[in-house]
Amino acid sequence: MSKETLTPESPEATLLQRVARGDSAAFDQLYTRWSPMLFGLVCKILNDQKEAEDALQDGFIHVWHKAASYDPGRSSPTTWAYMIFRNKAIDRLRILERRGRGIERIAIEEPAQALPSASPEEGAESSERRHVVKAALESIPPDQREAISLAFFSGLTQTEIARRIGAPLGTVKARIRRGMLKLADVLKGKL
Amino acid sequence: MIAEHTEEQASLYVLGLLDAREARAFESAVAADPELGALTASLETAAAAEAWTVPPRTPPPALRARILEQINRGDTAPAANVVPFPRSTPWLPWAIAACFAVMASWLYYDTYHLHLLLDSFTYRDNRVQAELNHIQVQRLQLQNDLADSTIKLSTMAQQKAAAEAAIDALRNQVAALEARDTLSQIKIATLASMLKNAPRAVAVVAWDPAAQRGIVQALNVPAARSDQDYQLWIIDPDYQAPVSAGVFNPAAHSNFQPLHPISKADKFAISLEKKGGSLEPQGPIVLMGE
Repeated sequence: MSKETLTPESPEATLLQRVARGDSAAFDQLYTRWSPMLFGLVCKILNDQKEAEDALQDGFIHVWHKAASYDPGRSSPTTWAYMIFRNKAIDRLRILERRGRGIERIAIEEPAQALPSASPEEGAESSERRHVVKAALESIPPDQREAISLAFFSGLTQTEIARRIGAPLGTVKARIRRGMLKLADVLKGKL
Repeated sequence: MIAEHTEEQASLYVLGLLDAREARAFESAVAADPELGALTASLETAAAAEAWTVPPRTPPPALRARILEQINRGDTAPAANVVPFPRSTPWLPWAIAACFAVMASWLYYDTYHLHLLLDSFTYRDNRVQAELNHIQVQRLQLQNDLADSTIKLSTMAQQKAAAEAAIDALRNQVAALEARDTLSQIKIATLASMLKNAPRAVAVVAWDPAAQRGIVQALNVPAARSDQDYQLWIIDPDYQAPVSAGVFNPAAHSNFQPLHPISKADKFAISLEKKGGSLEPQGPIVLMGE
């Protein structure tokens, strides 16, 4: 169970509850808190500024309409948001690639920019979480990490991942399963 | 306890690596299994960990305004500019999209249920095949048992025939031995002439004490008168008088049987008696021997 689950009055959960009731001011605050990390994520997946902006817009519109579906017993607000925006970006990536508009995988040269945090506590909390995640990811073998990372960011199918890694499909599935279980175990109650 | 395969499906599901049918089936499984739901939630957290590794980026300020404007005016249209539709018919894209959505939903629903049905049939088919294989194995075992039993039966029949043949052979041997034993017990006696006028007269008696019967053959014996008969006698020490073995024709060999049981035939004698014979010797003894 996540940290926010234990404290349902956490700022993000509270903001989500307000957004679910149609509070645009709360939505604005959520945007301020989440947009840098989520934009960073969709940029990494899409590697295209314009597509990333559209994905970010799709994601926040989704949050606006689906905030009521957030289940605090299932995940933290951040995890919920990350998975929404990741899926939006992957969907967009797959659509574009099916239409032959494969995005050139050119790294966006713009350096990462850290926005001022809403509060010093928020920045410290975010930094602590990143530290925890880094340690968790380093605790799993590199081959498992590679398979999970490729699956999360690339939008490739199982077969394509196996081909990219150069390992049998069954091996790739096993690596993903073992790595994910290990990560879930290490991160239990920490995010 | 969640099976490894289910853990794998859960991991692939949260990473969006299952196809639509697999994802739908997995969601049904999650809805029915709280433990699997909890596992899936924890795996989503694990997957989201990857996102934490990405450095934050500042989106363009105009984007914020665009999004806020969109939600404030209640415009929920997707922001994607991937598929522009003609402005002259703004309702057309939505109509087409709705049609596609309905068709896709119907096709998906139909396909999903067909897959479920197929899975069910496949499962049943696998079970029936397994049972059939089991029955075939049992049938083969029974056929092997039957073949073994047939071989054993054939072997036993051959053994029985051999045993019967051996028994017959033994019986024949026993019969031969018995016959040999019988012959060994037969007593042969040569009776010499007591007649002056026929010194060359002779008789041979073969006596079987077990059977209490014998054969007599006389040679060169003068013919008896018409009112007389030659009569054979057996001298047994158990009797005071010779025991009659009956009258006989000396011209041919004759079978005889004594009037009383004979325990020891010491001597044989032939006398010339009145026609029909006597109970005890009355006439002269013409031949005698041991």
